[in-house]
Amino acid sequence: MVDEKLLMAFRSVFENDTLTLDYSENIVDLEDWDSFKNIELFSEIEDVFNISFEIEEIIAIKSIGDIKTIVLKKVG
Amino acid sequence: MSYKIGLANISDADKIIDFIKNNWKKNHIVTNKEFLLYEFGDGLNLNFVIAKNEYGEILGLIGFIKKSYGLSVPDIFTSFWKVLDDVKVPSLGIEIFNYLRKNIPHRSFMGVGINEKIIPIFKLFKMFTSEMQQYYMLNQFIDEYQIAVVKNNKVGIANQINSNLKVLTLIEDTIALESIDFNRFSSNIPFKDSIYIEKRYFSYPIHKYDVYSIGDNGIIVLREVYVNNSKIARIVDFVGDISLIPKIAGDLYYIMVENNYEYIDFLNYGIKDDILSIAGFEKLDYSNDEIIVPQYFSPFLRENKKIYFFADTSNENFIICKADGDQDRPSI
Repeated sequence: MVDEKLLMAFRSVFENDTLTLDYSENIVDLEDWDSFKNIELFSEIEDVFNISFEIEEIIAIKSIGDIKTIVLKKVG
Repeated sequence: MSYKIGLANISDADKIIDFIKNNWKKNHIVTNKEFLLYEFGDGLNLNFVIAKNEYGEILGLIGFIKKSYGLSVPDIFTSFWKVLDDVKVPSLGIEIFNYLRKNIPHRSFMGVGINEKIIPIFKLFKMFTSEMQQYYMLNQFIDEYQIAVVKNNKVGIANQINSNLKVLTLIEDTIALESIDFNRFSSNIPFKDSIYIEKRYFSYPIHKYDVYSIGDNGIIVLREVYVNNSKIARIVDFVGDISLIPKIAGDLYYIMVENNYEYIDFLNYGIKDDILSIAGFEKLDYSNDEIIVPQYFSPFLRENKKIYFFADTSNENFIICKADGDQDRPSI
């Protein structure tokens, strides 16, 4: 369920319906990534999962897998 | 990638200039070293938080401007915020911003002129964001407006005309600032002390400002703008009790008519509509292009433009003016 919702969030922000997620990939290596998309992504994930990131958590995130780990922690 | 974030010092000036040249604008005013040191120099420090890699190269930065020098904990405004596009650290910009927020002592922390697209960042930081409001009074004696666009009704025509200045006095010399006890306003956010006022408006190397005292109860700062063979004046700052504003309406109108300004505008956040309405100002309606009161003059853009800001303060009664932050500084 988390994987599915994460994928939807990424696809929505990057406006790409065929996007797939490689959890080891650095976010910056995603096609069309830029700092605006980065912010949009965290906001979208907050909305989709109804969670709130701590700034320090956002700073620590490097890979897509890091996002999943934090989301899993927050949604229990 | 390894990197370190910290406060810049004077020896970083050339690297900061190169960074701005290469990643912002080649001929930006801040790439003039003398101006950079004037605007951001603070003893041996430069008021920039910078991230450097292991080779000492700048990966990103954010500048800040102190609004007072007497208080140990000033209110600060951000200026410049840029990270290299190809840096492999996803949230380095946020990390630099967070460093500033956590390590540079301040009472409140604000920024004006932020890009609408980055507003979600401030929401992540749980900071307040909104848009500035623009108010104007039109000079009814202008036949053809060259700067404003006034399509139909001359909405916003003020009707109080003084025959001379009655409340305001133009401050020609900074000695006159001494009669105003700025410390009375130390609970205002942002608090601007006399050192800041002198540096920002009397010694500023670029624009010329007209600073008027309101008796010994505060000041109002105007800047004349000349474009398209016509003139306007902008109220760029106000320090004092806002209840003074209606009392200076007649004087402002006198200044406008006497100088043949098309209008005087006042971009701010925090001063209530009714106070400015009593003072003869009309609130600009951004959804209506019948009246255009331009925001940008270098280059001149004859359009209404919204200006966004963020504020990190527990005090809701703050007032932000045009010249706070870097909004009244030419970029070139």
